[in-house]
Formats: sequence, structure tokens, C-alpha cells
Amino acid sequence: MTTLVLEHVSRSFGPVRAVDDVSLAVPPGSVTALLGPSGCGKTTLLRVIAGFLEPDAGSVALDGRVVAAPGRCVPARDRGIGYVPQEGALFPHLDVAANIAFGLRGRAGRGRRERVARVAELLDLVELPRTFAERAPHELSGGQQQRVALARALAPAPSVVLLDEPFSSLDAALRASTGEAVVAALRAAGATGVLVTHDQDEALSLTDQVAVMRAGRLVQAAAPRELYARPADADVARFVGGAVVLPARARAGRATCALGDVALVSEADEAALEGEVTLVLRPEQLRLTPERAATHGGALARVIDVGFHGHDATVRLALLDDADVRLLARTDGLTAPEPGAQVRVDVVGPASAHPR
Amino acid sequence: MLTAVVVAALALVPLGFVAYDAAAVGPREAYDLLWRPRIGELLWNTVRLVVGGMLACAVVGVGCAWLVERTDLPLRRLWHALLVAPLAVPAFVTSFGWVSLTSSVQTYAGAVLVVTLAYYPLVYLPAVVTLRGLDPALEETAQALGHGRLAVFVRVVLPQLRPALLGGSLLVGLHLLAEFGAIQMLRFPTFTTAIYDQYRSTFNGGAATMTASVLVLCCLLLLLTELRLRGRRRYARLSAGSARPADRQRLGRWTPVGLLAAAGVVALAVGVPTYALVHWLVVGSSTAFPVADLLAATGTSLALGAAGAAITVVLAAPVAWLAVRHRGRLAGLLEGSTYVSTSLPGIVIALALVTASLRVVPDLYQTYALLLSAYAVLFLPRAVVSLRAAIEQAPPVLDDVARSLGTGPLETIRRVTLPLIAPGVASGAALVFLAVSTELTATLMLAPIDVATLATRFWSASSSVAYGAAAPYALLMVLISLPATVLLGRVSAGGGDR
Amino acid sequence: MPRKLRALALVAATAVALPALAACGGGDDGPSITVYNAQHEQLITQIVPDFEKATGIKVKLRNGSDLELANQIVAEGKASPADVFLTENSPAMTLVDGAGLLTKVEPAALKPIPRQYVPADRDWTGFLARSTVLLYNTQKVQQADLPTSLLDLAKPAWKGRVAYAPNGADFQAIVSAVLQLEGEDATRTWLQGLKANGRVYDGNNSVLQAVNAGDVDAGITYHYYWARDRQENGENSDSSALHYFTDGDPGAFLSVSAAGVLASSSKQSDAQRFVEYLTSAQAQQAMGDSYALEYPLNPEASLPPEVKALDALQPPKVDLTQLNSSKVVDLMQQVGLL
Repeated sequence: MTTLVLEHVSRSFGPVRAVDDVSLAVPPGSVTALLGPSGCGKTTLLRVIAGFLEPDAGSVALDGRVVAAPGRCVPARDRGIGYVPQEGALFPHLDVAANIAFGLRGRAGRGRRERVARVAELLDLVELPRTFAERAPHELSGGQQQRVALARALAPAPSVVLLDEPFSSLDAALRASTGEAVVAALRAAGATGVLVTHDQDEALSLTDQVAVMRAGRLVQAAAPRELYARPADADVARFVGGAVVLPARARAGRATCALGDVALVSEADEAALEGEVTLVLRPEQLRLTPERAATHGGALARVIDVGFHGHDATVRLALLDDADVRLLARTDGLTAPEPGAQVRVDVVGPASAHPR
Repeated sequence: MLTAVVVAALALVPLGFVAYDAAAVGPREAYDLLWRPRIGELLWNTVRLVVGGMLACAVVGVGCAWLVERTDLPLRRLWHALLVAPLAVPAFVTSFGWVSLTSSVQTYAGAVLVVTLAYYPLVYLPAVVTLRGLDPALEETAQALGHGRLAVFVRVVLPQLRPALLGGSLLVGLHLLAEFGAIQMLRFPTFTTAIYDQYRSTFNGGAATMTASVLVLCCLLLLLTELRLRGRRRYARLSAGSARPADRQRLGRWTPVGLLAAAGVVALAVGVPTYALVHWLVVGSSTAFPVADLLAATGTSLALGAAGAAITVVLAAPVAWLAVRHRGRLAGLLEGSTYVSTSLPGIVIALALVTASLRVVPDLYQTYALLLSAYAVLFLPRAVVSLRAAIEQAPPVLDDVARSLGTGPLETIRRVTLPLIAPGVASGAALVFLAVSTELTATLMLAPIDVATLATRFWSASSSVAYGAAAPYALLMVLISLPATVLLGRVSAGGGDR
Repeated sequence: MPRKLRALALVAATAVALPALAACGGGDDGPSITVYNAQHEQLITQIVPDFEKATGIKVKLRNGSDLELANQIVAEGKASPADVFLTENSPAMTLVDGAGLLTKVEPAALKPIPRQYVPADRDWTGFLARSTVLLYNTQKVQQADLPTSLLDLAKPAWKGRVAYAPNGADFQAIVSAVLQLEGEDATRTWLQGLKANGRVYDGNNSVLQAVNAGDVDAGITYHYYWARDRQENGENSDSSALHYFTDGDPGAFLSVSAAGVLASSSKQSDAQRFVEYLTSAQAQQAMGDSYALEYPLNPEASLPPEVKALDALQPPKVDLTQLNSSKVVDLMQQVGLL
């Protein structure tokens, strides 16, 4: 069991600060996502942790042992960190068994029987049939290649496994199932995982902690639910899940916006806010009712268009009073209004607010 | 990086020599030398031979690759082996074969025909590899969009073949710029034959190297054109799914035509020179089989070929590595500089190395070490081209993975990089071997004394009209080239069956 | 894959073994000389064993062409490993002489050679000669129509009928003879006529093939190309014959193969002995009896009777050392032949 601790890690490429003063703790046995748009520095950070890059400043500690600090760097091969790159990157000249056994040392690597056993064990762990052992990488589907790549990373029993956008090349259906299988295998192996991704669904659904990065900086690190409910700012909110962002005036734990009077999440900072704020609501917090007139509270809006997803639908709206105010709501798929319809918009639950 | 710079510097010795010598010619004299009708004529001849040869090689190479890879032509494996076989026949032997049978090839068309037959495998090989690796989904998509077979080939397959086509054609073009033996026999005057003539007639090195500088310009033009057309090349990468082999085009009643085309190319490229050699063996009164001489020359050719191949590949490795892993202006410059000497006639390179080695390392003069460096300078591009393609098959992420699995740098090279690039190393080495074992001018001037190769023996006999005596050496040259040729055929065919 | 790796290992091992192999070959036993030989290799190797047996001096040959070896010696300068240089045509020797790299040939070597084949400064000596001839296709040219002078070939009667190889040293030596004998203007006129009439080929073998095949009626060449093909299998000489010019006509020009000793040689006496042997009756007759069919210059030696004898030829008087005139090339360039 390990804790991975980053303290004030920075890394530049020329004038560009790819990673800027990042501190993060990854608890043992958990899976943490590094989430951010492309170019935010998350892959650079991962490569610093792996030991492929040295930090310019700050330190990386594994289980209390500093593995990277300026001038003192344990090489990647001695860190005991598993690494699953994009698209798996299986060794094309080796079959599945040889790929998995590549990093095995000592007895497990030398003895033929031990090796076969370990390979079988790992294939089980990533839920692939044992008969796959003799296949060549190009005979596997993309999802299967990813699982083999994970098995290969897990084989030497590393305490930390780093996954660099491992599912980005898979199609949507495969992505979800592969993601679940991979995380399940990580947990089964008791390994701590760090997953780089730009896919917020993936981050929220698969991990215990999400670290959001923007322009090299760590903006927020929190459990998925916490992150979703209380994003650090409007940009994080927009990036993690859809967001309805409205100007509002706050006072005593409540805020007044175009949708009326809204409660603020009952945490100290928000409750203390006064005056002009930016209000962040989640689309599913907007409840739509077919209605010709606003009766009690709420606001009237016209449906611009509807994105139907089956289980739910996203509805874009414009306020009748002020057509410049655009809203996004998520409703039950079957009861979604038609475009052009007029609806009443009510807010359910508290909103997060950020000083303007 | 430093090694690559040293290698490039070595490769640039001949260019420096050309520049130095050409600079010694006064501007007035240079003007007179370069501004005369004969130069225009030579330029026209060189350009049309290079362009015609490149185009013809591209057509024949891609056509044959398509027949072998994308149609249900019977006996495809046999055809593949036979279509690679011309690599085993040195260009001047092909030329000799044709010329000794008929003088009708001694025209522009004939010259293009003969050089095409000698050099088309340089396009055919990479084309076969690319066609095999091409995702059939691309073609299917295009067909679904309503394009006919031909349109699909032109609009989808050909663009994918572009890197192979350009790389292969570039090699053909560079060789044609510098080719002397074959073209001289074809009586088609080009810049290179003119440079030899100048050395022969005026014994005026300055004038000859002045002319050579025009060749350097032609070479740069070719390189730039290739670079322009190559554009941003897509890296080879592991597929996200399993690759399907492509459906083959049914030839149906066209099968005899396909067979005839393949047989025709093989007959013209391999059959004619072989027939000519056998003919001379049988009818020539000077035919003799001096066993000891033949064995000695064969041994020397084999050893020089192998050593030359090994050294050239080793020297090419850092250049290719830089070109792939650290793309940039410097890497491009270094890579480009290795190509220049390929476009220079052998005599210019040999004289440059005579001058340079006597000044810098007189003790190495006319030793194997110097001879092998000369081979390396001459044939670096063959190795760089193959290695570059191979290194692109070994993306750096694999190194990262290996390191994360506890592997040290040397072990990574042994367990990951080498196995992956081995086919490329092998084909690079084979290409260099083929070139070295038939090289003439540099061998004549720089080999240790009393060392004779099959090529020098062949030259010596054929230049005294003793065709019968020359033939056994040529046949042996073909024979020792066969293993390398087979290897090249295997590597190109084996890409997909692991 | 392992097979490929093994093959690579084999290649690498050979590469390592090669220098060792070279070391074995370089055993230093007894005196030896290095000869840069631009004459035909087979011809010189026929006389070398007898020389080695007679003198105990080992002869190391570096073979090449006039073009390569002359330029190489000049490039090497004083550092040249060569002791003796043998050329196919004399201009290559004149180039080396012009660079001041030769020492005088000793009288013993010069004695058997008629004086017209040795330059006045005795820096080198001729040892073999080849005669200019007009090769003609016997079906296309009647004997009565054969020209009396090489210069006649520039006349309109020969339009489209003459083959020659202007790029070759052979033809250029012939032009330099014309230049020396007839002067610049006449030579230019002749070359212009030849360019108008002639068909350019890339070598004398090509000329031989073309004339014999009837592609062209006649060709300017040296005598031995045709004569050797008669000896080989006659395939390229069965419908053609040789016409020797007479009366000191430029077309009867004899080009000389030359032997010289390098001034930088540290083995002067051994080198001189080799040249002496080369001009001796024994070596000259051995070369005369060979396939080469070039004229031995020692009067005691002769060619087989099928070839017109040297003393039956009527060559013009030419100063061999003046043949390297770059004017020849200038003229040919002006006319557009180079």
C-alpha cells in the first residue's frame, strides 16, 4: 500500500510551464483521475511521476520515499511504477504471454512454470481468456490490447499504475466496459491508479478522486461527487458536466438570479458570499413544466432545441423575459418538451456560487 | 547526436572536395565551362533520363506490387521472388547483357528501358510492404462512396503509397544521376559520363568537379522535391483493431494478361542478362574458369560486401535515429547530407577520398579501413532509408513501457528496439551489400593492392573485349547477390504474417 | 526473428575478421614494387611471373584505366605508393609528367625501343602501340570507295556513314595527331565535317558492333578491337574489315602505351629493372603472342601474321609529348563534340 505525494511539482519546456506548482496526494489503493483539456499538462505530470521526465522543482514521493526532486531522480526502471500508455503500445514482436511477462524479474521471470502461472493469473485478472496467451497483438481488438497492456503493467506487482488516456482510441461502448474492467482489475490487484483523461464521464464514473488541471495548474482535487456539486469555479463546472452559469446577487446563503431566488450550498465560503456572484447550476437541477404563465416563482422560457438520448434529453432554452439568457436543462427522455414549446423553469436543490 | 554529426561530416567530404576544386576554377573559365551547348545537351539528357527512369520505375514497381499483393494472380510467391531478383543483377551487367545482344537499346528509350529494368525493385519493394499494410477499410469506404476500382486506386491507394513511391523513386533518381557503368554502355551521354570524359580527356580535375557541382544541384533539387511531396508523413502505429487482409481483385479472364506482364518484366530484367552471360560463356573463346582467381575474388567480394554493409548500417543508425526521433531542421540537414554523395560519380568520390585520406590519415591510404569508409560514404542513403522506416515501426512509447517495467537502456535495445528494427536493419544491410559487391571505381582506386573483387575482374576482362572471360565473374556476382536479394524479398513479404 | 539476428551477427563477425584477413595478406617477404597499371590487366599479368622469377622482385598491380590512375597519381602527388606507371595511351603519362612526378627512364630500358616512341626528355618510354584504322562494313562499303585520308571522312560523300567515339581517349589522341599535323583551322573544319557526317558512339566496342551490324557504314577506331573480336568468336567482326591509312596520313597515327618510373619511388632500381624487362625482346614477344594484338615496339618481337605488321604501317611523324594539348578538348567543345 502506497501513497503517492506530489509537492510543488513544476516542469517547463522552454518558456512554457507545462506543469506549474502542482501538489497532490493519492491515497493508497485509490484511483485518481488527472482531468483536463488537451495541453493542460496532465500527461507531462504523469511522465514526471513515471520518471520519464525530471521535475524542474518540487518533489515526487512514493510511500514516503522521494523518487524525484531536482538533482535527485530515481530512474523510471527503478521506481516500480506500472505504465499503460495510449493505445496500449504492446510490443508488436512479442505474443500476449511474452508481453505480460516482459517485466517479470526473479523467480517469476525465470521459471517457465511460474511465468505461465503468473500470465494466466493476470489474464484472469483483466478478464481475458487464458487462450489469448499465444496470440499476437495485432490479433486482438483495441479493448483487448488495452487489457493486455494493463496486465503487463500489473505483472511485476507495482504499487502504483499510471494510465495515459488508455481508452481514448476505443469506441464509446467499448470504452465504458474496458474502463470498468481495468479499474476493477486495479482494485483487485490492490494497486493505486493514476488515470490521465480528458473525458469527464470517465473521470467521474471510474475514480475515487478527480484532479482537474488547467494550463499547467491543479485547479481542484476532490471526490467525484464533491467536484460535481461544488466545482471550484465556473470553468471547472463547465468542464465537469454541463453547467448553467448565471450572474446573481447573493445575500445570507441565498442568491437572486434570472430564475428567481436560489439556495446556495451550505458550506462556509458560499454562505458567506455577499453581493455580485456567478451562480452555477447543473442542467438536471432545472425542472421544466409545460405552463403558459409563471405562477409561483420560476421563470418562463421557450425551448430552442432538444437533444434526445433515450434515457434523458438535453433541452436548450431561452428566457422569455430576456432572450439573451440561455439555459441548459436535462430532463427525462420520454417527457421532454418539443422545440418551440413554452415551459416554466424551476430550480431544484442548492447552487454553487463563486465571487465575480 | 555527435556521432550523427561525424557521420554527416564524413559523408560531406566529397562535397567539400567538389566545392574546393570548383572554387579553384576562375569565374571566367567556369562560365565558359558551364555555359555551352554541350552542357545544355547533357542537362537535357540527364534530366530526361532521371525523370523517365523514375517514372518508369514507379509505374513498373507499383504495377508489379499491385499484381502480387492485390490480385489473385497465380503463383504470387514465385512472382514476388522473381520480381525482386533484378536486385541481384548489377545495373552494368543488365546493361552489358542488353548491349551485347542488340545495339538497338542505345537510344533514349533504350536507356530508360534498361535502367528501369535494373532499378525498378527499389520502388517495388517498399510498394509491396505498404500495400500489404494498407487498411482495406479505406478502399471499401471509397468504393461505398461510389468510386470505381480505378478511381479508388488513384484517389485512395496511390496517396497511401506516396511515401514508399517517393522514397523508392528518390533512390532511383539519385542512382541514375551517378550511374556510370550501365549508362556508358548504353551510349547515352549524361553529366556523369561527361565527368568521366573530362577526367579522361582533359585530365582537368577542376573542370570535371565544376561539372559535378551541377550534379550536386540536381541532387538537392531531387531531395527538395521529395521533401515537398512527402509532406507530413504519418507515423506507423499499432492498429486499434486487428488488421484484415485485403480482398484480392479477381483477374478472371485478365489472368493471362497479368501473367504475361509479370513474366515480361522478369524475362526482360533477369532473363536477358542471364541469357547474355550464358551465351558469352558458351560461345566466347576467352571463356575460362580460373578457379583460384574466381574463388579469391568471390571471397573478397563477399567479405567486403558484408563488412561494408555492417559498417554502413552502424554509421547510418544515428542519422536515421535522429531523423525519426528528433525531427527538426538539424536532423533533416544531417540526413540530407548523407544523400549528396550518392548523386556524385564514383570517380569524384574516390578522388576526394584519395586527397582527403592522404592529407589526414596517410597511414590508412589504400587499406581496408579506407575502402570501407568509402563504401559507407557512397551507400549511406540505402541504409538510412531502410533504417528510418524501421525506426518508425518502433515508437518511443515502447521504450517508456520497457523502462517502466524495470528494463535498463541496453536491455531495452536488446529486447525491444533491435527485434523491432531487425527487418529494417537486415534490408538496409542487404541493399548495401548488393551495392558494395558490385562497386567498381572506388574499389579500383582505394582497395589494398593486389585485392581483386568480382566487379574489378569483370571490368578488367570486359574492357578488353574478352566477354567470355568476363562472364563467369558476372555470374558469380549475381550468385553472391542472391542471398541478399532473397532476404529482401522475405523481409518485404514477411511484414504481415507474424 | 532470431534467424535474422544470427545473420546480422554473422555479418558483424565478418566485418571484424576482415582486417585480420588483411594482415595475413600483407606479409612482407623480399623486395617488391607497386605498379599502377592502366594497360589491360590480362596483358601485363602475362609477363609479370617471368619477371618475378628472373629477379625475385614481387610485382603488385593496381589496375584501373588511364582516367582513374593518372588522376589518382596526380591526386596522390609525392605520397603516391606507385613505383611504376603503365598507361594505355601516352596522354595519361604526359599528364603525370606534366605534374613533375616522373624520373628519367634508364638507357638500358630505352635501348630496344625506336626513338620515335620515346620523348626527347626520356621521362618515359613507349612499349606497345595501336594503329588508327577505318573499320568498314564489307556489304556497305566497296574497297574502291575507301578514303585515302582520314580527313576525307568530313566530305559530304560520307554523310551519315561514319561512327566514332569522341568521348574516348583513343579518339582524342587521334584528334591531337590531326591537330599537330594539319593545324588548328584544318582540324576544326575536319571536326565540323565529322560532326555533320558522323554518328557518335560511346566506345570503340560500340563502334565495332554498330559497323559490323550495318547500323553505320564505317568507324574510326584502333586496329585491335576488330582483331580481338576475330579471335574471340567473330560475332561482332564477321561482316566488317579494316582499312589502314598510308603515307603518313593522320589516319595512320600510332598511339603509344607508355611506361614511366615515379620520382617519389623509394625503389628506383627495382622499378627501372621492371621497365627494362618490359621493353626486352622476351617480354615484348610474350605480349605480342597474347590475345591483346597490340604492336610490340621492340623490333625483335612481332604480332601474328594475320595482323598487318608494324613495319608495313606508314604512320605520320608525331611528337608524342605534345599530344596532351588541351586545345584538342577546346576544339572539340567548340565544335560540340564534347
